[in-house]
Amino acid sequence: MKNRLKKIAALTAAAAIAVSAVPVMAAPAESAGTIMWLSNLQSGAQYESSVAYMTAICEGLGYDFTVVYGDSFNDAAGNLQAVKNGMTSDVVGLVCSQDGGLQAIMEEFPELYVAGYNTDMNSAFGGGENAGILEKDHFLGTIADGHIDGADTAKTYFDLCLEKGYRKVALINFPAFAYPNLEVAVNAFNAMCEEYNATAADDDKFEIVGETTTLMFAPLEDSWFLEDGHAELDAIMGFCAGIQFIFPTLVTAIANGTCSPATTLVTSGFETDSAITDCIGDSEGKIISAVTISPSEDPAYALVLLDNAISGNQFDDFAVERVDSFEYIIKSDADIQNVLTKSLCGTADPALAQIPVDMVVNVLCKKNNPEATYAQLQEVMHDAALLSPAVLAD
Amino acid sequence: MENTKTKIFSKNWFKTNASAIAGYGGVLFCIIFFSIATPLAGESIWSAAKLSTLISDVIVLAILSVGAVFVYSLGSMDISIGKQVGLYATIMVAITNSTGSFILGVLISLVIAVFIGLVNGATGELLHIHSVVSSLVFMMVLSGISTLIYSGMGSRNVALKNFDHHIFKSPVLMVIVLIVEVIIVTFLFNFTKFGKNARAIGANPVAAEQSGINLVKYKMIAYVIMGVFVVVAAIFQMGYTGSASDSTGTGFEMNVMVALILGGMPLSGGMKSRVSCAVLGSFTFSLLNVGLPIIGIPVNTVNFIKAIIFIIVVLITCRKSRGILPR
Repeated sequence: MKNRLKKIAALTAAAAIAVSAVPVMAAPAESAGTIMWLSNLQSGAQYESSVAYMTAICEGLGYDFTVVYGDSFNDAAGNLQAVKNGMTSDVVGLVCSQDGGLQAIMEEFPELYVAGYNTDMNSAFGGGENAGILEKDHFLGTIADGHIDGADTAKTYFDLCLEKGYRKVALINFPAFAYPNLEVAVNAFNAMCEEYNATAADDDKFEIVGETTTLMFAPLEDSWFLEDGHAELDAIMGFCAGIQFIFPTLVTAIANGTCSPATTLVTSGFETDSAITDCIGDSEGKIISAVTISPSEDPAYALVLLDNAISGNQFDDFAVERVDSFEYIIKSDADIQNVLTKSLCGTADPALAQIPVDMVVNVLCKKNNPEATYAQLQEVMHDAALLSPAVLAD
Repeated sequence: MENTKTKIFSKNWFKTNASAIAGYGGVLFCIIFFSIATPLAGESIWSAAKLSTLISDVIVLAILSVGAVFVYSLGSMDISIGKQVGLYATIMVAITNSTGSFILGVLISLVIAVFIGLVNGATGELLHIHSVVSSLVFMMVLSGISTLIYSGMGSRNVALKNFDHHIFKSPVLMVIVLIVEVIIVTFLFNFTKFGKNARAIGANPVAAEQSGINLVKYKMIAYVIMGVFVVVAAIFQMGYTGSASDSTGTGFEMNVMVALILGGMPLSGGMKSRVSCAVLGSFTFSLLNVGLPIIGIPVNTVNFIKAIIFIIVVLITCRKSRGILPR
């Protein structure tokens, strides 16, 4: 009887797979080809909003859109295999959010146009193992996740400290061999504090507690708060994905009394989970006082460059380069509410994109607007009057 | 004749051969299904490009799985093979770049692999601990070594310089190497005293030991054989992109386990262990990887479907009403 039940369960599952496969096997509609995204994400607010936005733009430009997941650790072979597994003959462009194996991918598919999004492609622009792609005609550049120069990231964090009055801080980052720009950021932050302290009043000087803690891609240990000075901080500067790696430990430490409830976190990353968003803001008891994120509108940069290249209408003033992303800074209760309810990032609704799909398709792409320029694209991608939590309030 | 027919199609025959039916049935189902479905979606899985993708997807997993048959037939397992692949790939790239000799990198990797194999094989019996414990220790040690190497280099990746790795991307070479490996392992497993004793140990270690079989010796040999094939797999893994990283090989140990179970391998080892389980399971795994995206299954659903198929195989091959995994 039990064996029969097992067989029924197995057959039911097999039937479910077969039935679920039928709708997706319908003949595809005519299109100009498919744009593939080699994603560094598999879920979450940024993933959902990026997929929605890229799908809408691709539809507007006449492409199909598909996603493949890059290797979780950005391994070259894993990324190449992911692209190969997802590759079909109609794929004409690739948006890369991981740079591992990029040169091998471009050698495997030499006709494919490639543009980056959400990655600084340090392995190419920094003279690493993918530097050869800069010589290839089909490589179009990238828009980074945040700042390319760590010193700019440090400036953002330093300004937030000044604005919010944080003076006693501790620094946490990822290992330099994995993220060299974060080491630059930490060093720059230390230098800015030293420079400030040289002229500041005694009670206004920065105190950086202890050495910088390096997380080996694992959450911060609870015992960190038992180390000298870590229980009474104004803020923790998380030069890493602090929402994921620092926030849970900080919450536990505050609940256990091993950390002052006044300690807040300044970091990067975003999730729409209310357990996190309820803790972001500037009112009393908020644990995350500031979060920096790259807007979900960033893929527009890569898609415009791809469409121009595929349609043979590249900008006259185009240059292959890596550019900073605009930085969204969420630092108040109003900001987080606006982002959650009125932004593309918070809602995954392309209609709420601050760079509207219609603008990308009809204004920024050269095939639909012969007057379009690369300078104009750059300006739009970094326009604070267009892209910021404050603008959402209007 | 009539009697034989009855025997073949009897309830007991299906029960006894459930693992083999699941293994062969799985890969056969995938072949038939994707042969029909992928052309309907506009691109056959048997096109030259997709066939090449399939071979490159399957090669490392198949080499590792076939090499692991001896260890699994003993009822043991090794969860350090992913980290071993990563370390050997790193060593090959680093040594080739610094000395110009690729062979030297391979030889050094082989020496390390044999050492790890000997220790992994011996400690389980000598210290009376499950062999997975010693492999866990190696996994952590190798992970630490890898981190130290890449921290020292100041980068997460290292790429070959002045060495043409494209030979290792050749599907023909991949197929030849896999066939040679399968022939060697099948011979050792089915036609030598070593193979029979390995299965006997897996079936009942106490009885095997009392029959005069040296458990330590056979376990050490099994782990060393696997180690040698881990080095071969690392060559292809590294040669695929001509590079290695601190994450090369991550998760491979789990893929090997899934492939073996998909192929109908009993995790407790024993007389029902077959080399074909490794080949069938690896191809089923890769056919799903390559075939499902072609028919338009969203990538975030592929793992879900693979999980369902995994459960189906486990349900079919589960012999005991209280059992969970094939025994």
